[in-house]
Amino acid sequence: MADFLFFLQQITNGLALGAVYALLAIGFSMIYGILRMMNFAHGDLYAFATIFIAALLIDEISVILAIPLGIVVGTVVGIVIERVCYRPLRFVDRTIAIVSSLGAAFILRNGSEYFWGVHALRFPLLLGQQQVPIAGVNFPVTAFYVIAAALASLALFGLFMRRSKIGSGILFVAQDIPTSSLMGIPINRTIVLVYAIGGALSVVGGVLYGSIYGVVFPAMGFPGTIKAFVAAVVGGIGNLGGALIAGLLLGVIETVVVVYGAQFFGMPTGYRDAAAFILLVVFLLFKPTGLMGTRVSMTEVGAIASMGYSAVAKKTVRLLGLVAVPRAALAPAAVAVAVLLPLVLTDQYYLRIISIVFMYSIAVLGMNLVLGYCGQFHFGQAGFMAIGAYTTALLLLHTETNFVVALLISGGLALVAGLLIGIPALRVRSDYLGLVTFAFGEIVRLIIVNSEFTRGPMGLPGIPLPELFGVKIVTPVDFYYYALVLLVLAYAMCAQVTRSYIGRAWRAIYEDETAAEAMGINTGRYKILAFGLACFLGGIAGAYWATQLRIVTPTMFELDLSVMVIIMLVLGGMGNLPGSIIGAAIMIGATELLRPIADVRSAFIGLVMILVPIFRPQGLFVDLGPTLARGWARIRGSRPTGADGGGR
Amino acid sequence: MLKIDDLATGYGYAEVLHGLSLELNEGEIVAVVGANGAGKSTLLKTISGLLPVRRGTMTFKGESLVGRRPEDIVRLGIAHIPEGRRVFPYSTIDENLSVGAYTRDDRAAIEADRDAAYRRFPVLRERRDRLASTLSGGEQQMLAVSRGLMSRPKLILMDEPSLGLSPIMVDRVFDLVRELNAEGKSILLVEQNATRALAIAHRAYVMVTGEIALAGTGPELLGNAEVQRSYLGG
Ligand SMILES: Nc1ncnc2c1ncn2[C@@H]1O[C@H](COP(=O)(O)OP(=O)(O)O)[C@@H](O)[C@H]1O
Ligand SMILES: [Mg+2]
Repeated sequence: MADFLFFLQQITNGLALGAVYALLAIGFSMIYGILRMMNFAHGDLYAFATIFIAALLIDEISVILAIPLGIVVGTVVGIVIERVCYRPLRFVDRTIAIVSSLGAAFILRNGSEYFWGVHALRFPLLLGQQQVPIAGVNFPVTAFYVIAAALASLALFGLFMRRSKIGSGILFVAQDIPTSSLMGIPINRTIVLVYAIGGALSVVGGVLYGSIYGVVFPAMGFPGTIKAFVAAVVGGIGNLGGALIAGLLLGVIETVVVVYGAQFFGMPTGYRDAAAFILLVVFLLFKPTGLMGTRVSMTEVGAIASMGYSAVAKKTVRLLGLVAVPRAALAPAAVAVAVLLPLVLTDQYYLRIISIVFMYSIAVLGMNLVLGYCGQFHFGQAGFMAIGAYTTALLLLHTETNFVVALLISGGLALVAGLLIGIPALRVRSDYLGLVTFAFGEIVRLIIVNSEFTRGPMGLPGIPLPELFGVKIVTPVDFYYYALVLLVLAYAMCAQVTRSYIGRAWRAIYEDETAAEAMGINTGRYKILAFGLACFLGGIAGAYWATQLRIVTPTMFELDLSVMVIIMLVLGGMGNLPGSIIGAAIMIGATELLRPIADVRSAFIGLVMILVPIFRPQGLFVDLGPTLARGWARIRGSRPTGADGGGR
Repeated sequence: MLKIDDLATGYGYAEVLHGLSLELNEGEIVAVVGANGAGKSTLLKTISGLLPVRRGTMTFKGESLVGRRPEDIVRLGIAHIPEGRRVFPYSTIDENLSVGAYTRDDRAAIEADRDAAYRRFPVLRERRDRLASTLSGGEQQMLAVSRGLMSRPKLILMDEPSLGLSPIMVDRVFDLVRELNAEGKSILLVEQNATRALAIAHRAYVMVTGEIALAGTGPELLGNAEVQRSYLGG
């Protein structure tokens, strides 16, 4: 009996946490459902506004004032994100919009760290911590208040959608934007509203979170996004009732898995997120349409409605990034320059940095194949780099394996891991690959942090220097050439593959998967191939990294790394191989140059991530005026419907 | 009523309409016929504000339409019934009709108009609480027309209303066009089924790759040997 009551208590706690997730998920799901855009700034918006409230409360500003102010901040930030990160890009490419939302996430995160510090802020337990003892088990009354508050906000929102004119437009805009426009629905205002409501609801979630746990902190943002994403997918994208139920379910599962996992299996609580993800992946495999599987989700509807212009938009506006594709003749010249460089550039610091640029370039080239050429979302390159790095580290530390063999095993293992998660995920739907890889990257990191053989957070130091035929690779110059050889090989492979029929198939899939399939292309096989190669190159890059640094630690492979690799890709230009190297060089260069202003560095990078897609500075060196004018026009103009106006 | 002069527009880098002029007087049915890809739908999308005007003028009852947003154009009294019907598949018939009156606020009158729509098409009343996706093609066309009427337009832009319908439904659609015209609506009718369109139009234009090739009364064009050969498959 006591056991059962304890179980009920956990369920109650889980539901309270789930109520927070539900509030986050509904905003996320609306935005995703209407615009097919994954708003990766969603969680950081919630963290930012909640921390803002906490700061106000610490300054003894009354709750009555602080919470509404925080909600206003959340709403305004939501509107700004729509205006700056989405509207200018609405008809461009979804990947690009993801980068720009990540940029917004960086800025928000950096902003809250800058203003209120990186550490947790105390949050008052607004709903008290009253407990009612029933048969020896304390029932948290607070949890019921939290659930009630969440449901009340959602009811209010539902009423608004049903009763107000502007709110009722949301449902139609979600189905068919151009036709909604013909009905006289103001599209831009409706979409702004979606972001505003999404922001406001998430702040309510943040306040409830603070009231449950008593602390709020900048790092709660990204997990918030992920939970929202997971709940939105499980609930069926765009299905708001589904998001609510899935959010609650997620909270319960998480709580139960953590409590009982620790109790029965001694599982470290660090696995909390991993548990939820694994369940999610399993769930998706069996029920890809989401929890409310019988109803068609709005995404599909939106996709049907937008087909008319998205196909055209994709063709006309393939984002070029910073560099135009150089002529083929440049490749040997570039290699020659790279080979001779150490003769001129003797500063070891620079050589080390350039070697790191080469390492990143290999990982970015892999991303380029899967995302830039084939158009499949892959957000977990850090996980595959980690597999490569730890495999090499363990082999070199504990066995007599030669580093070349270790390198190949590392790449091979990353490839196998990639196939294991990629095959089921890609069979379901391309977007899910994004989610699954995302989750995978985090799971790999969690395993590394929580395992004995990786020595947890301490990492593996003292990796022996690589040696080939009795020659040791020791100096930065040695490593520079080692990295260069790897990069040239990786580049040659990518160039070969993308030029072949495989590359053509990838591009066909990128442009229009359904059409590609109709043309007889086995899209599944080509998608897996792209993804597998990307994972392989990630593993190789990680393996190199381990040998150059001679130490591997879990902090090297945080989510930021996956994000960084995507940014490099977009900066350099998707579907542009030399661009991958240039993008890596720019990002590493910027990171080094911005060291003096380290406390606002990531906000700065975030700003670049937002501005580059808008202004498309491939022309910055060519025609500055028109490029700026075009970018500005995108910020200002963007026709409300964009119906069939793709490519502008 | 509607006056278009030297209109140019397009998508991205491609210009589709190159200086098109056209006129429609109050109470008329004007047909625009032409081959697939001639730019007929593009013309309608430009009038209703979905596509920006690049050059030329466009006035409705003396007021310029250039640069106006779609919702303002609906308010001026122009309804666009899009190609392929485009009913909202996951909303009910009732909701589809309501959204047609989005620009209006007179609840009682909206209710009356919805009732009128149901009287015109009793099938729709029977299924008012079903999702629009469950309707047949012909029924969806009825719904699309009714939805367009809910904004109380003076001018209706119809894009290929007979496309993909059974012969019986095609007859009903053309009857409907006449009926609406008799009720005082002006109609700009875009059709590939040129014979039928010319037969009911007061005046008509033949469009070829973004330009007006020929203009005349309906019967004139029907009798024109060249039109017969090129567009009517005769
Ligand atoms: N969304 C679009 N994006 C780019 N070009 C388009 C789009 N829609 C139509 N076009 C092009 O504009 C031209 C005219 O198309 P449209 O107006 O649909 O012709 P019609 O309605 O007469 O069949 C065609 O060449 C077509 O390819
Ligand atoms: Mg057409």
